[in-house]
Amino acid sequence: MNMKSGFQVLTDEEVHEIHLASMDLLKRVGIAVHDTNGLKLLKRAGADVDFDRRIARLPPQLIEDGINKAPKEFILGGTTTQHDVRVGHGKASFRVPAGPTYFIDKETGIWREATKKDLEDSARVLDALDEIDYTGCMILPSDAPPETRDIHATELLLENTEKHVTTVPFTSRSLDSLVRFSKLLSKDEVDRRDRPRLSVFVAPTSPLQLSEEATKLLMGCAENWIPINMVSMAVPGGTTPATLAGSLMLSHAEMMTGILMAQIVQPGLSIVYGSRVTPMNPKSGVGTLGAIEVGLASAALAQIGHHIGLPVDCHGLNTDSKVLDQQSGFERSLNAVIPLLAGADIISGCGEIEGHLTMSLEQLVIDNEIIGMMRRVMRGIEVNAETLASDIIARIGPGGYFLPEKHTREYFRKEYFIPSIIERDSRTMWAKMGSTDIVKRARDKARKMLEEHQPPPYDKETIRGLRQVVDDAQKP
Amino acid sequence: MTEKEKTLQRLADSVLSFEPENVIASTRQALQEGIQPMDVIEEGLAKGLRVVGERYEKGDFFLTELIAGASAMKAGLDVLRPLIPKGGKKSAGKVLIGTVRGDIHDLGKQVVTSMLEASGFEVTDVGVDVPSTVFIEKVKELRPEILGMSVLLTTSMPEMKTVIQALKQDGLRDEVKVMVGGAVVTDNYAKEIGADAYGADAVDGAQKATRLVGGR
Repeated sequence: MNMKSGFQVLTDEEVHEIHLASMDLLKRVGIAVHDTNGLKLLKRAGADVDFDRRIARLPPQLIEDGINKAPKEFILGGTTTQHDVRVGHGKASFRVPAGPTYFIDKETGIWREATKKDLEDSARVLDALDEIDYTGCMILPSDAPPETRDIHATELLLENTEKHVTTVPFTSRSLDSLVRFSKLLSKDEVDRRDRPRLSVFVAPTSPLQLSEEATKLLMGCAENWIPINMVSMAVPGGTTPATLAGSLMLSHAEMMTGILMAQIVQPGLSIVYGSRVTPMNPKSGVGTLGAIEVGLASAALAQIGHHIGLPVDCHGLNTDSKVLDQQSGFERSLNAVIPLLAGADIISGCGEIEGHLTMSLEQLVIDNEIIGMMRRVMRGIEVNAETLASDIIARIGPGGYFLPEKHTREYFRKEYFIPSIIERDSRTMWAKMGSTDIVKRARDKARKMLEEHQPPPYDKETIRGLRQVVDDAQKP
Repeated sequence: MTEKEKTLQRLADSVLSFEPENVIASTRQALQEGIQPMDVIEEGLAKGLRVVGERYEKGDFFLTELIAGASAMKAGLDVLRPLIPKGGKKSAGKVLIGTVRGDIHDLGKQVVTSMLEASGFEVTDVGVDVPSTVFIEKVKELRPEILGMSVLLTTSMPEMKTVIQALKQDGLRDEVKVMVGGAVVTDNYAKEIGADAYGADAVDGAQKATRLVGGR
């Protein structure tokens, strides 16, 4: 009954060609790992390591063996099993991105620096929205101390949404806090492994580097069973070749190195293939998330990640627009639906505008609606005796109508996605409801959610524990 | 058009070919014909790069052409610099540039470096993941007019402030102008940490650098 997706931007042969080229690159050129322990790890596993130049060359067999240990399916845990995200089982999940530092003020509509209060509000609205499954570190608040902003943000998210959180540790110094968070929120060690409440992003740096901090984080998280969303950020023409094929191939090599290292440290650790291709505007050099090539590359990434057996997370609901306009609407819809059809497991972007720099509650509510529509597409069209409804057609015959039928009552609910803020009525009715546009309706809905929705709080002891982690992180 | 004008025009055009070899050949040709090095720069190379800049502003050229034009011009400047007589202005000034500690992103800094070099600055690139102690050491050693710091990761932004404070502690803050840039940096942030200028992009950065050293 689910739509069988057959959309491919690359042939199987092309995917394999990219994969082989990446393996060849890692064998011939190698990759720079700016951390001695990381190099030692690879050396022990059988890599050819030049410690002076900090370069590791990786034999293809080593890579294949390592990658094969990564699970194809796993759970990113919420507070209850109802909030768990099942990754890699064939249906797409949708999430909020990580890193915005600005916010569209929900009262005035003015663009400004984001605060801790904005993060709390955004997390609560996310919590109330049905279609959005989980979140990255959705805001880095300007009123939290710069050095420990990641820990403050993580704690606020954990307190204000029951959904899974993938956070952005600034440095390996944050590792201790993250492990403490994850232990506080798990029943026991088995629960912590099977339904981890917290995961992290780790990013190689193109071209062909793993920074000291990224390596330390990667190894530390793996040791402690914290799932990793590995994100290589290709910037075609800048840090990778201008061509999409070259960019996909180069970042695939970086991705495989990171995945391999994590699997050597902790065989079976949950890893998401979160690679991204973020072109620059050739005219100015500014990075773009709304370019149509983002969607095209995301579809290819879904195929490449699946080729090595990993679930894939990619860009999608993104725009370069600075306001909630038509550009935002079509860029995010197009670039989300393309990888969705290609089978991507997780699609990010919810609530962002301006290429991940700005978070907007209105956009978050609108994205919830867009996802509802996309999920309807993926549900496909059910064909059987009941849906063909031959008997009812025969009974009503030529010239009748179907509105009073029980079949109609039933299938109006089953067959159609019923939106909450999309406007589809007559002009008269629209005028009667205040002649609003979708941004206004989204803002109203967000405000109402903030008035009405509060996720159930943790017990006092857990909250004290979480806040203690933040306090301790701030001690010199 | 006189022979000299023709030669200078060929020089300007050579910058637009984006091939350093062409620029070097045209520069040597101009010198052989007895044209003064300063004229070769002002009326030849710089004229070519101005055209590149204008077409970039119009959106006709992309960033890659801007950088290629700048590198082509630099190839010519390298030929000319040793020939500029003592006391003559060999460069617009010295710039020390690097990506701050904790960040290994290189791209933005490279783009700015080539624009600065094309604007006549002598640029020393101290690389990526540069601790404040190295910035201070190099400022003492090279005595640059401008110190440029680049950052992409928000997590490394506070490091720029650390460097500025270290300059103050060592009594060097008035000796050098500080410029900052990178995708996450804003004009406000630059003011907040006490930098002298913020480059919104490479072209803006090169223009502000020129202004900081008292040029146009």
